[in-house]
Amino acid sequence: MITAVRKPLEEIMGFAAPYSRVLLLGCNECVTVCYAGGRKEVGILASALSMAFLKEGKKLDIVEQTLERQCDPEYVEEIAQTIDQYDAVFSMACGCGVQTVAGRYKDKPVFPMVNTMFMGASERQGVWAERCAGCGECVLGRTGGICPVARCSKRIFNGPCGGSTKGKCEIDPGVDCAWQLIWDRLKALGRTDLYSEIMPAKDWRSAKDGGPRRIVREDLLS
Amino acid sequence: MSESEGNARKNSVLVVGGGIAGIKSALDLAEAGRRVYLVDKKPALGGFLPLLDRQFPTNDCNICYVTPDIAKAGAPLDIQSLPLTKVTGLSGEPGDFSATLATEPRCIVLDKCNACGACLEVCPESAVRFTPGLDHKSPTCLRYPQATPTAFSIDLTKCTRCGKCVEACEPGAIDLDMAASQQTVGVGAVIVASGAELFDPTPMQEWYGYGKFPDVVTSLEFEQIMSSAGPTGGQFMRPSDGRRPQRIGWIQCVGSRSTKPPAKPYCSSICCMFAMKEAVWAKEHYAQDLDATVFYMDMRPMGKDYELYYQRVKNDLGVNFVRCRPHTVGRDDVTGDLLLEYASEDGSSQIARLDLIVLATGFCAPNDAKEQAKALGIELDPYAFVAAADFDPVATSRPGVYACGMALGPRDIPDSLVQAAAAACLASQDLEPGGALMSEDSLPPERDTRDEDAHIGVFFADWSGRVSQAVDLKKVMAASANLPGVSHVQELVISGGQAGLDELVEAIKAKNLNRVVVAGYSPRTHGRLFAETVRRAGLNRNMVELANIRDQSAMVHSGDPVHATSKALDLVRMAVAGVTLAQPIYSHSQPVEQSALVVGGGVAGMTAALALAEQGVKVTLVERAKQLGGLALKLKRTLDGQPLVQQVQDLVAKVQAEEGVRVITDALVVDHEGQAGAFRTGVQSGPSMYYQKVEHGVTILATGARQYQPTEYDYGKSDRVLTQLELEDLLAQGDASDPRLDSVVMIQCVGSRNKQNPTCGRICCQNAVKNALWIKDLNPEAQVIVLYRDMRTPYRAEDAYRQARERGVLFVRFSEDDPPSVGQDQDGLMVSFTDKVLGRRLTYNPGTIVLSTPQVADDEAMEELCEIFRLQQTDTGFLLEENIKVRPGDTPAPGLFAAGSILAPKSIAEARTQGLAAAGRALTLLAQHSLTVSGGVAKVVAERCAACLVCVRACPVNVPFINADGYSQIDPAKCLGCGICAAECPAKAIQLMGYTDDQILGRTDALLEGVL
Amino acid sequence: MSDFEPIIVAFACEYCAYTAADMAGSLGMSYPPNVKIIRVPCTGKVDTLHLMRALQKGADGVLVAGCYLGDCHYKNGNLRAQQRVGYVSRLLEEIGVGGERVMMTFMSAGQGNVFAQVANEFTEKIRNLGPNPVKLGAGKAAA
Repeated sequence: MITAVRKPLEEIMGFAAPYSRVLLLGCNECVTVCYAGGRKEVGILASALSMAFLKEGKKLDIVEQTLERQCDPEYVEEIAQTIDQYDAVFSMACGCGVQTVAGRYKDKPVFPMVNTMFMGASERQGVWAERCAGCGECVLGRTGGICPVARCSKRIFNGPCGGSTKGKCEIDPGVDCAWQLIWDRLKALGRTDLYSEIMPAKDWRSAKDGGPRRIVREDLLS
Repeated sequence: MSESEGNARKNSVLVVGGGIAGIKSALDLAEAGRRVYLVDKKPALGGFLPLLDRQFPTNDCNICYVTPDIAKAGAPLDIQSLPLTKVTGLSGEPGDFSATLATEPRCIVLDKCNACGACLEVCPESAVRFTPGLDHKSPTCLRYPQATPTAFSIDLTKCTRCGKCVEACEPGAIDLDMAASQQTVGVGAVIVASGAELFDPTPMQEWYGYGKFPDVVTSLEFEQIMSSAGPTGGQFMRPSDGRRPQRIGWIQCVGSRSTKPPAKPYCSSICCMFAMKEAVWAKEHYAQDLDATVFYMDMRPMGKDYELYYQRVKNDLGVNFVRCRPHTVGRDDVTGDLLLEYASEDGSSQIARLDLIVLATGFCAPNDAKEQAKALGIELDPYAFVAAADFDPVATSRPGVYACGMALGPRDIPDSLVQAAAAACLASQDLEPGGALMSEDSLPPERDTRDEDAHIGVFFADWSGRVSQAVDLKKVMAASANLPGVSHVQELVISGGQAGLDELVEAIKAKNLNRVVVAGYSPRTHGRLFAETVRRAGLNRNMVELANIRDQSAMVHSGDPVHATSKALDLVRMAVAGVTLAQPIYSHSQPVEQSALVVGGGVAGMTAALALAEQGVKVTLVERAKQLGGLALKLKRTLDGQPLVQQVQDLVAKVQAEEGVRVITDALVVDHEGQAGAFRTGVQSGPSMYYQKVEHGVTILATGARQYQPTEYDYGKSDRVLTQLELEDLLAQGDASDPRLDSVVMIQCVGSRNKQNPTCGRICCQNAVKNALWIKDLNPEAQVIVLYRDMRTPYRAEDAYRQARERGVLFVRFSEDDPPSVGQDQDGLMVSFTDKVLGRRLTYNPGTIVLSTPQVADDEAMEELCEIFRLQQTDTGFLLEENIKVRPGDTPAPGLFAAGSILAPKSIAEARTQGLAAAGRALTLLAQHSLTVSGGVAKVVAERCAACLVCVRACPVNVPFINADGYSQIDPAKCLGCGICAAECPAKAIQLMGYTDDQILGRTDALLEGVL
Repeated sequence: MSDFEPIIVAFACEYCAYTAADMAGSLGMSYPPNVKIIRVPCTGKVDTLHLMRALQKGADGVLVAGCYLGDCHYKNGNLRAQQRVGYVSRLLEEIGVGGERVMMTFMSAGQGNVFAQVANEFTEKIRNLGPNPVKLGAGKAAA
């Protein structure tokens, strides 16, 4: 899941300053699950924003709407009929959603309401942690299901480094050393042989270093 | 009861005693459609429970779970409570008794009393009584809805008729000339639940200093010191100087287990757990570094998994335990410290310095026990508790009169509740068969008003005259008429009777109203009444809202008529907005199959099956073995020493002869589906594994436990190492000259209270004492030694334990880390053990070694059973109940009940009680004939759901789940209606019916209309 | 503004605070008429949105009154409510409305006196804080 957190209100108020009527657009996918931009967060932000402006004697008209997904054009099409009523769109989706909306409604200012954070998993209610960096070449099969790209601060492939102390990473004692976790898990699996194999240097072109990526499935094209 | 009496049988029961057991019996009977007279000699109901802050072993306050969720139940319960009332006579026979009741004058007219407490303040003679519960500053503990709200009364024996209270009473509620009244009620059965009294340690002042030193308190007093709602307002302080106590000692067995009067010889059973609970609660909530020590003789935590609690308290939570007999409490006048002198286990004298001493006082029979027993014509035991036998544990000596709870001797809440349900079950057998609740059919069809514009009627009821004293009702009524949607405003006169309610029904019909606001009452007390009333007028029960202008305006702003009036209007406006957005809540009903499946044909299962069949319920009894009887077939005597074999055989024969019970032996349950009222269960039986489906309305699980097969102490290697069951076989042969019985060493806790099985076997100590006495009966010269860790002999089993000691049975304690050892030496079978007093190891050559083994969960069978019935096991493998404390025989699955040693080790008496209790609980469900599933529950809007699992995680009872279609599903039959999921849902996909977001926001918006 | 009469919305759990308010009523314990009660089955039902909306519409203070921690009929609804109140308080602080305008409080059903006392104290506190700035701003916006 893509995780995000709401931007500081001050920044959002900066976006809103020139306008008097905006569409606050939620997304019922990842940002709902991580409490950043679902129907409920839309309501809370609308309330907070309207109060913040009203307090200053300004009435900001906020219309709330939540789409099933902002990263698919068909869903984004749902606001085509009403978009003209608004001065701007305030999207609470992740960066993907914001761009899809901005791409579809080219003459309408679109602002992000959240900072998109990472691809993460839910550790428990209210806690999300980074688990995948989308490097394009998964090595989890060799590392006991623990990702050295997303979870090692240095992204090293033959760890740990010298900064690993008592299973914790030197950047923060609250962060587990990924390589310690990898070793423990391989040991539990009886596969320490995998650890002994030196992993070759990674070709980062499969990751972001190769420039913007896309997936094309010929068999699915229409 | 004779069959010819059938027609004359009453449908009502007299319950004597309004503590937790009496309330439980009354509720079970009333839920099954019976009329109940609930009498209590005290001015208010509740007994001990409201005085407790927390209950072991969960350390929760969960009293409200005992009381039924009245808002959800189908029909009103017919319970007439009569405080200040005693039974003075009982004539007639089961099914047709006539009971005379004498009610003391309360001298306060409850309809007028507003519980202001002015009388209490002015009375010079302290003749005004009130039952405060834990919350000292309120008229009564209202933590539970059955408390009589205004519990004031005047004690005429103290009153000098000075008249000050009459003057002080603003509403004129005091009537000092109120006369005592007598009445005769016809009932079919009687349940005695008159409880016990706390032992008063004052006469033992010279030993314990209670009454002399203010820092010596009873456990109940300590409970109040700790309560956040108690007299010190949550400040943890000792009485003498308000200092925060650092060292607290609990003295166990104060007033119990002593033959020196005024102490009682029996064990009060629950003080051990009570003391541990207090020690833990004090440590956890007030002072981690608190030095808490329990001074005890034997720790007796004997309820389900209580031993685990004890171990946790001792090993993890840092409470100290000192085994000793404390004898004197003194005080150091310089420091103010209390000095507790005690004799430690090795015989040496010790002194402990403490800031506060808590006396774990026991219980004794009420002082009017004999008088009451005479009036009811029942026999008492030597300690003035009601006498009962192990095989008929809740029956008294008089047919048709039953007993439960502490009336039968001290016991804890779960045991009391199980007995209460059992007594209710037996009582209903004496009544007119099949009392049933009013069904939905007698009501007019419900109008669908969803598409109609709102036609709201606002009704004002000033039943006490208090509202109009502060609020300008005319003005509020006039303004109400202008609120959006309101088409009718009327004042109602409702004074106890039906007339005003009928007026409301008529107005709804005549004015074609579709929504109603009633102003003047609290929804807490009157919500249900008006919901039923609008339903009688053909509206949905959710189409009425109460504006509480009495309690929230008139009563609290009486000195400020202007604001009281404007606030009353605000409250009405909010209620109108709320009811405008109300949606009908449909409860759907489904017929309840009048049949039961009982799984397990042991004593508990057979008892349940018979009890149900006697009430006309068709029962299918499934037993795994080829014959009925279960573990009891191996027992020869009950714990009270009475012969058992014939009784079990008779029970089996009775079940087999009972037409209403279909017995399938050699059978296994293989699948199970459906819900309460309509279950379908697959059973395979016989050598060919013949498969059949059983349809049934309720299920009782009573598959029992198995006896632990020891591997310890050379068992199986020597034919002279036996289990207690094998010893019983030998004893039953009655051969006094058998050399094996000349000298017997019993070893306790074999296969229990250890790492593999940390629980206590609960009955092994009593069983060992029983068999030791039996040996002595056969051969008074026999040498019997019992090696034990703690002797756990509750209530009168303590008498047997003392008797065994008096007759020469030796009891020698060993510790867990220094157990006895068994082997062979030149003289044959040998046992060695450490004598604590001598401080060295002794060796002995007995004729027989007998191992006391516990009942343990039949793991394999339990796992399968739990999977089939979707239930859970506890850590020790037994079945996990709905709530260990207050719903001891209910499972979390509605319609599924449990009885006997499937839950924990049980004696025959307990298996019998639980069998009856489960049947009784099942009968309350079956009595409903059709089950209404209330709609005041959380509802998921599927297309909004993001399947995020938040509701799944947030629900306190784990009801929501993500279904096969990928969205959250909430079973309305299980949802408690708290709305936590609705408030957490990030997609706003859940609404709580009756409290929808629209309604809550509608009320806020109505209140704040025009503010901006 | 000496004639300022705050409007206070109190969400009250029916198991404890609502009952306590009834108790205050039957005992005739007076508290300011400014406090208006909305009944909920558990404070766990009180949504962040409900709190925000009340202030947005011009309430000067919002009180959430539940059972003592550990006493919740539904295990931890009151704890959840307390967390939400904390969140709203920070949010209000961020937009300059004042975090003290929301408060969580705990009591038992029998404590009518506690309800009255809390109602008194909270009303006094809000009176000292002055009117909800949103209300003042709305006046300007309309003008």
